[in-house]
Amino acid sequence: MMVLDVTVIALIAISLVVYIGEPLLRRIADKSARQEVDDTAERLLLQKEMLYGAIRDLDFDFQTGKVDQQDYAELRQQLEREAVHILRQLDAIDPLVAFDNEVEQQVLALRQRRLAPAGGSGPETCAQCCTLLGHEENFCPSCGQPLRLT
Amino acid sequence: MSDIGGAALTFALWTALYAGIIALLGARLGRQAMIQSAERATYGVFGLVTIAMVVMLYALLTHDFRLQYVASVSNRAMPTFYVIAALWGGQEGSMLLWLWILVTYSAIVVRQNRSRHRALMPYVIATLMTTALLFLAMLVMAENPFRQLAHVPRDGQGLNPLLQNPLMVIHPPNLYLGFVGFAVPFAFAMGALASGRLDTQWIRSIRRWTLVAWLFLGVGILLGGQWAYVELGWGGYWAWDPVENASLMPWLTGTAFLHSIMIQEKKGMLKIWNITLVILTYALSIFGTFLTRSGVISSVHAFAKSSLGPYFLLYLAGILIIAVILLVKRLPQLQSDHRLESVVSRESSFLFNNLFFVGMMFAVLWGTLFPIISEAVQGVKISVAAPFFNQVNMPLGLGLLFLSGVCPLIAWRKASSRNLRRNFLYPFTFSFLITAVLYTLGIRHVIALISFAVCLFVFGTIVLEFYRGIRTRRAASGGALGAALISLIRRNRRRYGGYIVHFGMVLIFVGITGSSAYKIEQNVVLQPGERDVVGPFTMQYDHLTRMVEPTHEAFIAQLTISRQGTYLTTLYPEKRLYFAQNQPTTEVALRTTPFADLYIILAGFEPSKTATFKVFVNPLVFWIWLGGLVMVLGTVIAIWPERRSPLPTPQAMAQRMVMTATQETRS
Repeated sequence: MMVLDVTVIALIAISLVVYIGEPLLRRIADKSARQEVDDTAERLLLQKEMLYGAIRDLDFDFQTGKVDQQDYAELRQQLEREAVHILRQLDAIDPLVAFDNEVEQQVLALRQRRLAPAGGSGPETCAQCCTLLGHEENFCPSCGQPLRLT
Repeated sequence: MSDIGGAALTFALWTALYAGIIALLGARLGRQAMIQSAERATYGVFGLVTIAMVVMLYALLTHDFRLQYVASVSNRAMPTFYVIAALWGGQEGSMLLWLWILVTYSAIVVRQNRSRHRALMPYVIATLMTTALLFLAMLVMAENPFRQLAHVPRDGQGLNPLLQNPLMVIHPPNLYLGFVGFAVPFAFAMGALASGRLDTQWIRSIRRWTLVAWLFLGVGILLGGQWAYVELGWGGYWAWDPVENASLMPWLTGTAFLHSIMIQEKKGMLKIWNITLVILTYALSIFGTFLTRSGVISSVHAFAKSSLGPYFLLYLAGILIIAVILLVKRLPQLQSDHRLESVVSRESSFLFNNLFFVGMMFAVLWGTLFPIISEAVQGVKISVAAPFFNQVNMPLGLGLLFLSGVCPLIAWRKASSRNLRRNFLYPFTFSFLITAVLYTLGIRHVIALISFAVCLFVFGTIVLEFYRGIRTRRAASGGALGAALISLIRRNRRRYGGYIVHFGMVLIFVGITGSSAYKIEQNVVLQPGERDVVGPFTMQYDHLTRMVEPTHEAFIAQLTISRQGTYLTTLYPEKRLYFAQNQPTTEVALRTTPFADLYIILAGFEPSKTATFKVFVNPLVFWIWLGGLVMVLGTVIAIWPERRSPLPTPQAMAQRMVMTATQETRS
C-alpha cells in the first residue's frame, strides 16, 4: 500500500468521524412542545389538502356527468363535514394557520366559481361554506353569506 | 487506488451500522442530536460508496488488471462505452451499483425530509441503512470488487459478448433504479408502523417515489425484453425466464399498490392491504435480486456460482418477520374509515384490480419457484414452461385491461344502472363494431378477437374521458381544442397521466396479441442466389462474407427482401465468434414496421456457403415498444409536480376584503 493511499484513507476516516460526531457534541434542543404542534399542524394540513383534492375531483366527476346529482350532493356533504372537522382542529392549534386556511378557502371557492360553466348550468357553491346553491339565491341558505357581489 | 475503494466500503459498512443504531436510539430516547448524527452518517455512507464507485470506474478505464473484477469483465480491445458498462457487467460491480443507487436514494430522502416527517425519519433511516448494510456486508465479506490478483494478467477476459449491446448498457441501471426505489416506500411503511403515525400522511409522501421506482422498473423490463428480442435470437421478447419473472413480480404488486393507495387517500380504506403490498413489493425486489445474484437459477444474468444466497435469505426472513410483527401490533389502528357499499362501484373495481395483480404475481411466483421446489423435494427439476404462464396470465391480464377501462368511469360507492349506461354504452358499441369489422376482415383467432375487443373498449373509454374533460374545460373557459386539452392535463396530472399510461398498456396488449396469435416461424435453407417465400415476404440469399474485427470474427449473409416483386430492403444477419471468450453469438437482422417485424437469424452455414436461416414474421411488435414510450410519457405527467396555486390577484384579494367586511357588518 502506498503512502499516498494510506494518507487519503486516514483523511477520509478522520473527516468522517468529525462530520458524524459533531452533532453529538453540540447542544441541540430536543423535541419541544412547539414541534409537537408543528407535527400535528403538518398532519392536519395534509389531510385538509387531500380533502380539498377529493372535493375538486368529485366536482369534476359531476361536471363530466360521471356522478349523478343525488350521489354528488351526498358525497360532497360528507367531504365538507370532514373538511370542517379538520379546519376546526387547525383553528384550535394555531391562529396563524387558521388565517392561512381562511385565505385559501376563499381563494379556492372563488376559483371554483370562476371555473363553473358559463350560464350557471354547473353547480355553484357558497364561497364561505361550500354549500350547493340554487340559481336564484342571493344569500347562502346555510351560512347567510351574500352571494351576488358586483 | 484500489485500497482506497476497499477502505471506503469497509468504512461505509461501519457507518451504516452506526447510522441504523443511533437513529433508533435517538427515536427511542427522543434525542435530536442522535437523529441528526444518523442523518449525517447517511450522507457519509453515500460519500463513501461514491468514492468506491469512482475508484472502480477509474480502475476500469485505466485497465488496472490487478483487480480481479476488472480483469474478468473488461479488456483493452473493448470500446470505452462498454468498459464503463462493465461496471455493472459482473456480479460484484452490479451489486456495487445497486448499493450506490440505494445510498443515493437514502441521501435524497434524508435531504427532502430534513424538516418533514420528523417522527418517521429515524425509522426510515434505520430501514434504508439496514438494506445498505446487507449489500455492504456482501461486498466486503463475500464478493469484494477490489480483490486483487496474485498474478497480474496482460489483458482482461472482456465483457460477455451478449452484454455488449447498447440496450444492455442502460437496462441494468434502469432495473436497479426500480428495484432499489421500492426500498423507499418500504422504509416509510416501516417508519409509519414503528412510530404509530399511521394516517394517510406516509402514503402521500411516497406516492412519487413509488411512481419513480415503478417507472424505472417498467422501463427496465421493456428494455430487457427488447434486448432479448434483438440479441438472444430466438424470435421473441418474453420467455417467462426466472430472471424476467423476478423483475415482473415486484412490478405487478407495485402496480397494485399504486392503484390501491388512491382508495386509501380518497376513502381511508385498504390500509392494512396497502402496507402489506409495500412489504410484499420490497420483499419481491430483494427476492428478485437474490434469484439473479445467488446462482440458484441458470440464466445469462446469474453470474456463475456465488456464496450470496444465505445473506439474502437471512435478510429476507429478518425483514419479513419484523414487518409482520409490526403490522400485527398496529392492526387495531389500521381499521378502514369506510366500508365497501356495493360490488358495482369504483372501490370494488379497484379491489378486483388488486386481486388480479396479486393473483398474477402468485402465478408467476409459483411457476418460477416450482423447479427449485421440485428439485428440493423430489430431486428432479421439473421446469414450468411458457404455456403454463400464458394460460394463467392471459385471462388475468385481459381482465386487468378490461378493468382499466371500467375503473375510471364507474361511480364511487355505488354505480346506478343509469351511470353504467351513460358511461359504457359508447365504448361498448365502438368496441363491438370495430371487432365485427376485424372479424369480417378475416381475424378468426378467438383469443385475439377477445383481446382486440377489450383493447378497443378501453381505448373507447379513454377517448370518452378526454372528450368529456375537454368539453367541460371549454364550457368553463372556452379556447381552442389543443389549449383545452393541455389545460385539462395540467389541472389534473395524476388522472390524465394515468389514462395515458392505460393507453400505453392498450398498445402493449395489441402488440402482444398480434405477435402471439399471428406469429410465423420458418426454417429456410438456401444456396447463394436462391430465394424462398415466408409469409408475405420473398427473401433472396445473395452471398456470405467473412470479416475480422478487433474483438471478433463475423460471417455476414446478405439477403434481399421483396414483397410481390417490389424491393423492400436488404438485411444482414450475422454469426460472430468473440476471440476472448471463444463464444459464438448471433446478430439478428430486423426490419420493423407498424404492421410486422421481419426477423432473420443466420442459424448456420456450410463450407459451400449453403446457409440455414431461421425466419420469423412477428406482427405488431412495434406497438409494444411504442406502448412502453407512451407509458413513460403518462408516468412522467403523473409524477410532474403540480403547479402551486398562484397568489391571489389584487382583485381577488379586494373581493375577499369586501366579503369579510360585509360579513363583519352583518354580525
